[in-house]
Amino acid sequence: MDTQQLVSIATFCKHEEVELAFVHSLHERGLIEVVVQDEVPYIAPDHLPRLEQLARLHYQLDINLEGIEALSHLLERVERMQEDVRILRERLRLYEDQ
Amino acid sequence: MAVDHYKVLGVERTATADAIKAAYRKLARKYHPDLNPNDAGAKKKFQEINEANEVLSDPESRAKYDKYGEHWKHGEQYEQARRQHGQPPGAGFGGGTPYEGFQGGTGNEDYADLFGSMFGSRGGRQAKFRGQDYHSELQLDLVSASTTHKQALTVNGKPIRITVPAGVENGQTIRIADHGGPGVNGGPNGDLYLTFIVKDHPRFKRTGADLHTTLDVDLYTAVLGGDAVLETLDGTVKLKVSPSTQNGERVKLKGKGFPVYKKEGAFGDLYVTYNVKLPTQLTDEQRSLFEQLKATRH
Repeated sequence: MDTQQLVSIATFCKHEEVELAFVHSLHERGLIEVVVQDEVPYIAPDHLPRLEQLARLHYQLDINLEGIEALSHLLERVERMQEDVRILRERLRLYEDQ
Repeated sequence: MAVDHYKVLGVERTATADAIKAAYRKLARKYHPDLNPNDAGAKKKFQEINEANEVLSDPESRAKYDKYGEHWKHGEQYEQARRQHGQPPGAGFGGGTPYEGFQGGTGNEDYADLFGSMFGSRGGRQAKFRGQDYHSELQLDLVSASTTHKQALTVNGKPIRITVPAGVENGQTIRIADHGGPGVNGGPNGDLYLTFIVKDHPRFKRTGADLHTTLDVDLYTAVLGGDAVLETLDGTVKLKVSPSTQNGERVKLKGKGFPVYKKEGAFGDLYVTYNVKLPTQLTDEQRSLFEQLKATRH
């Protein structure tokens, strides 16, 4: 991927006042994807919202990494289920209109 | 209606600062928008909790709130006006309740201010707050949702121009970074979350990238087979109707459905259900021919 589209983790940490160690911990736990190019770690713009969300949970709600890991899995399930509900509603509408 | 900040946090009016903080933390963890995706009710509740906490966590504003109620921000103005008018305490502007004549209240505070004020307890971080996230809806008809196009819209008085990718789904939300409320004290701007509302089409129903429609065919074409013309979203296609086509029979036109979101060149399928129309006004000759046809069945 073009590095112009990537956000360096150092820049993100500086801008959001987030500790580098926190981002590395999220990466180690598989909660975010990091792209390394020329030995510089980046985050893809698509993954920024998730990183920002996890940072808010930690810094604003004081949730520790273990809690974030558990919540992250649950949130993914909630979002998947919401998407399933949306698709099912669309399908149901097709039959209701007939 | 006035909101009782103590009730919102579920604490007594005599609650200590620690009890208020604990109640707030507990409720914030329950209703925080990040923990309640796409839940407008939780978001509203979270805003109320933040508002209550902003007032009650600061001893000075809490004292004013206890004294003046929901119009605590205007309490000093009220006192000043009362002194100027030589009115006794509690007389109010109109001689009624102490709060008559005040307008507004706490409903217009910047959400980001409220959000940040509680959580900024880490050294040196209090001053910068991220701006509020905005949520908006954009209505599209099915034809516009089928093509990538630019769209201008106004969000909170500001015009913005976005590219709507072909294939967006009804109810789908996209995030437009940095187009939310302004950050406070150099904090980053919030984001804009835009939800697409794709209106129903009179002739096409959509499930994902597939489209469904019906096509009227006359009895003779249904029985003997033939050609039919079908209007699609972007033109017409010629269909070969097979002989002995039954009413309600469905055929699939591969790749003639809706574009697949963010997959250039990929399309869903178009399902066509035949609606066989029987003739309603037969001439004598036609009727006679149908009689003859009937007779051949034996």
